[in-house]
Amino acid sequence: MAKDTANELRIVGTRPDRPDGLDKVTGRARYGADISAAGLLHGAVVRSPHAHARIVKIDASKALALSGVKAVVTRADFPTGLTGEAWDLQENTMAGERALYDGHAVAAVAATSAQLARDAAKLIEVEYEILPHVTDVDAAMAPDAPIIREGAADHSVPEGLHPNVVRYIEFGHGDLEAGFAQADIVREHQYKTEAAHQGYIEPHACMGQMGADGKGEMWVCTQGHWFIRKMCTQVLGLDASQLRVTPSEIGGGFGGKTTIFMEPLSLALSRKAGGRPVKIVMSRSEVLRATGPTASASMDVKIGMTKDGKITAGSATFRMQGGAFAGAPVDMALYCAFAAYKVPALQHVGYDVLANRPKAAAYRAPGSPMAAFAVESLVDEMCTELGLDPLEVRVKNAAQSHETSSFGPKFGVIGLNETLAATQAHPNLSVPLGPNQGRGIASGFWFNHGGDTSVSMALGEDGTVTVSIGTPDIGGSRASMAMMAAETLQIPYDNVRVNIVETGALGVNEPTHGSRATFATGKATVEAAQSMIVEMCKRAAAKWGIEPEAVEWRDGAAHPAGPNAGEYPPMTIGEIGAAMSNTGGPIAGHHESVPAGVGESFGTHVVDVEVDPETGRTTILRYLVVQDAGRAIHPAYVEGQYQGGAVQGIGWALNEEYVYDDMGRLQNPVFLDYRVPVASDLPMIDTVIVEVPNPGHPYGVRGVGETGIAPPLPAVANAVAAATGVRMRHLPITPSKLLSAIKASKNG
Amino acid sequence: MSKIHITTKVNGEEVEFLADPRDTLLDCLRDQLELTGTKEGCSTGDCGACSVTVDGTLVCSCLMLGVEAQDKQIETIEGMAEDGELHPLQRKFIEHAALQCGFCTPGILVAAKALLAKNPDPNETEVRYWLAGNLCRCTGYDKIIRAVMDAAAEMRGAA
Amino acid sequence: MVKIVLWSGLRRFTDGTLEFETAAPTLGRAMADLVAQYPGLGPIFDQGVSVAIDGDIVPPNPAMALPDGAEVHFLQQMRGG
Ligand code: FES
Ligand code: FES
Repeated sequence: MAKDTANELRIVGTRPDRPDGLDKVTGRARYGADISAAGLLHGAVVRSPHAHARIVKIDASKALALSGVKAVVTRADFPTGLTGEAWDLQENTMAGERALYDGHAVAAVAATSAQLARDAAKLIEVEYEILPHVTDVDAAMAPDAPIIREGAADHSVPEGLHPNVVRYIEFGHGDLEAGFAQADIVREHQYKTEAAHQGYIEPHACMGQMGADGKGEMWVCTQGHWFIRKMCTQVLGLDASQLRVTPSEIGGGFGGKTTIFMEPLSLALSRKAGGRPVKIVMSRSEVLRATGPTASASMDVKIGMTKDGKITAGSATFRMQGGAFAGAPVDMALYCAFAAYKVPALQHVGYDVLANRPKAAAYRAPGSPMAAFAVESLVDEMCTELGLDPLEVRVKNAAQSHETSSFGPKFGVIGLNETLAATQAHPNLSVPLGPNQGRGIASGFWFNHGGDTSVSMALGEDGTVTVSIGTPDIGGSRASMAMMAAETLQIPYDNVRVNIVETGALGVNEPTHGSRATFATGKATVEAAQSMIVEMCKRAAAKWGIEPEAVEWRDGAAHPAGPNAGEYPPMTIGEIGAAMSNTGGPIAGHHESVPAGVGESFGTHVVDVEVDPETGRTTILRYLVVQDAGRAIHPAYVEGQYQGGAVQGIGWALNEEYVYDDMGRLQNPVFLDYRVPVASDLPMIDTVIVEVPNPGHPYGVRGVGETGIAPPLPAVANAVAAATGVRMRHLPITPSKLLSAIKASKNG
Repeated sequence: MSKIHITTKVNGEEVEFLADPRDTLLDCLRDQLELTGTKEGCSTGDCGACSVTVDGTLVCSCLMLGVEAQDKQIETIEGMAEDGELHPLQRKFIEHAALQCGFCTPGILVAAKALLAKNPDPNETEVRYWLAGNLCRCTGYDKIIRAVMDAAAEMRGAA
Repeated sequence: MVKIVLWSGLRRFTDGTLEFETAAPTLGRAMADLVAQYPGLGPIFDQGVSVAIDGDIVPPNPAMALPDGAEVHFLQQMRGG
């Protein structure tokens, strides 16, 4: 159960220095590309310049003739007969009969230097027969759209839809007709968002080594090394346990590093090159062309509202393309769409559609930002029309703890009311606005996630503690784990070291994704500490000759529990550690589970913008994030998640998009053109951490990483509408788009 | 392609390496000199992860060739802490939680140090514009800006 | 008894019914009973679903006991981020 008050906590809620801080400010921390090894080869990947093409012939003879070129692999070097998601992964790793998008890998080469590998890649000749392509989601569903892959649809898809529709989602409740009939106004609009990339600054990098015996090693920047192990071995037809994967430090992931891209290629090349290690580091343009952006979306939303702001019914029909494979997050988008509202009648329909684009990967709260954009924009439009305060309308319709959610089941304990109340109370809301300025408000939601989790913990001879975890530290999670371990064991924070260990050292762990690390790995860390406490109490009991139940753990030491247990001086964790060889051997605790009790997190954002009527440029003047953390273990890193999520959302709202030309080629595969927010674009990002503890976590943690990216998309659009009177229903709101919309509205 | 012998100073120490004429200074630092603290995020001069100073000027080491480094004074993140003592910027970055993944951090620290050498008392806008060439995808910049301003204040106080 | 709620997209496999009462002691038994009655659900379940038991979204462990009075919602499989 969650602790009732923060008062009894000594470490949770404080802001100690992170354990890996020193390494990361001195350049010592080793990321994906920072490794080397004796006999190292460098890999380079040949990629399709076409959006859709049959691969007629691959001729690598000129490349192989270069001195120093050690191996070339194509799809012919991979096993056949894979099905389902394993086939998708293999096909995305290396094209088979057809290249399915601009940037799709078709061959790879290993050589003694990176320059040589790139030179050799240019010498690999690939003959293509260009096929018709489609990159837009609505176009891909149209009757005349080129078929990307026959038979890719699953059982959910009703008959009669285009073969590019590969999954169909439908759920809802209540009487929709009756709900709309009760409304005073019913409004319906279409909203669109473009694909955005996670944009982590560290490109994908790995070093793989594999011998002819199928045993291998990999060093890789990833959010989840067991996923890397499973996926690489599936794609290469190997035994999972024969591959040992060690995670490097990771330079950002945001969901994009939860899957494989070129990692199996390094293993395949290594095996062909006599087992020499092969390092592959992607260029930025490879990252943008060939790794997971998120889906683009086309969304119809309809809402009924009474004059006093009660939402009576809603429907959402979302179409998303996630590249040439199933997996656009249209399901999650729909689950999140109306989550912040209690609505008597709702209908959700979704289409997961194939298009000639790279395979979408998860991106921070996958689907939720698009859904929030559509629903929160329409709610705002209707509030404006009815002259209602958008925050009060959100309070009036807010989803409640223990009541039925928009997606079906009942909520547990949620903190939406508290989040909205904290927003209403914030001083940013009373800052007066000038001409061409506007304020936008929107809420967002994410489920958070449990997932396979395995943690172990060991006592040192001096009473210090090592914690082994399997979730890479992307944003300071080592600190949070050390804090929770220290809090539970009641020892100093500095006496705990947290290591992220390789795949051989623990049971399977899901990645650091779904905002799960602090929740799931944290919960398992607490459980592991508790099992170690039980063992330490046992050792003390044996020494004292009393029952283990008569021993209690307090202040980092075993004490006799009450006067009946006898009079013994406390035995500290240091004393227990020093004596352990003679009292039964090593002391360790561990825990494995898929933790239940995940706590959802709601957030509400308020943004003030100014629009330059001459240029259409939107400037963020003020930004506020209010979000329920359950409990903040390390508040500075919680604030950091809120701020980082908000700014990614601002980028998605204002600048970021995948731009394809008529040939289906990505037009902006460099940071100059794929423009993420820079420091001079932004003000400080104000944060309020709301704490409505999650009863499913020992310290009340919910998970905070993802919710924060959803509200900015609608909040910014709502603020722009308030500033200009122009409603932008298609992101991003670039200066040129906004300027023409402003002009059109004046002429209209 | 034959390689060119380069002698230069990195973090105050004389070093030599063989550069392929196409290798960037970033390649040479990372691969020849094993100074992997300087990062590559784009290789097109857009992200600033590769920031170093050359004769006191802040540059993107991905935009300079290794062969251009002859007889220069190059400073990288590895030279920022002196005698095991962290630079105030480094300390303040840890204290303010101004890094999440930490991948942008070396470049931002080098760039911020170059700013404070020029302007010991920058206002928020000046810090934001100076660092506009250093992308950070994790933090939203808030804590980075605060850490730089706080370090500047401390350094002014100490001076 | 336990209440089972399916998502509305499954209506076409269940002759329109979305809510069921069951005395099945475990999740696995409840799912098997449903498939026996409506074979169209088999491939859907095989492909993977998410389950919420009294609001707690958990992996569909067939051995999981269903407490009397529980409400079990089936959701299309959730994919994390
Ligand atoms: S790597 Fe040099 S600016 Fe990005
Ligand atoms: S801390 Fe990750 S990019 Fe800046």
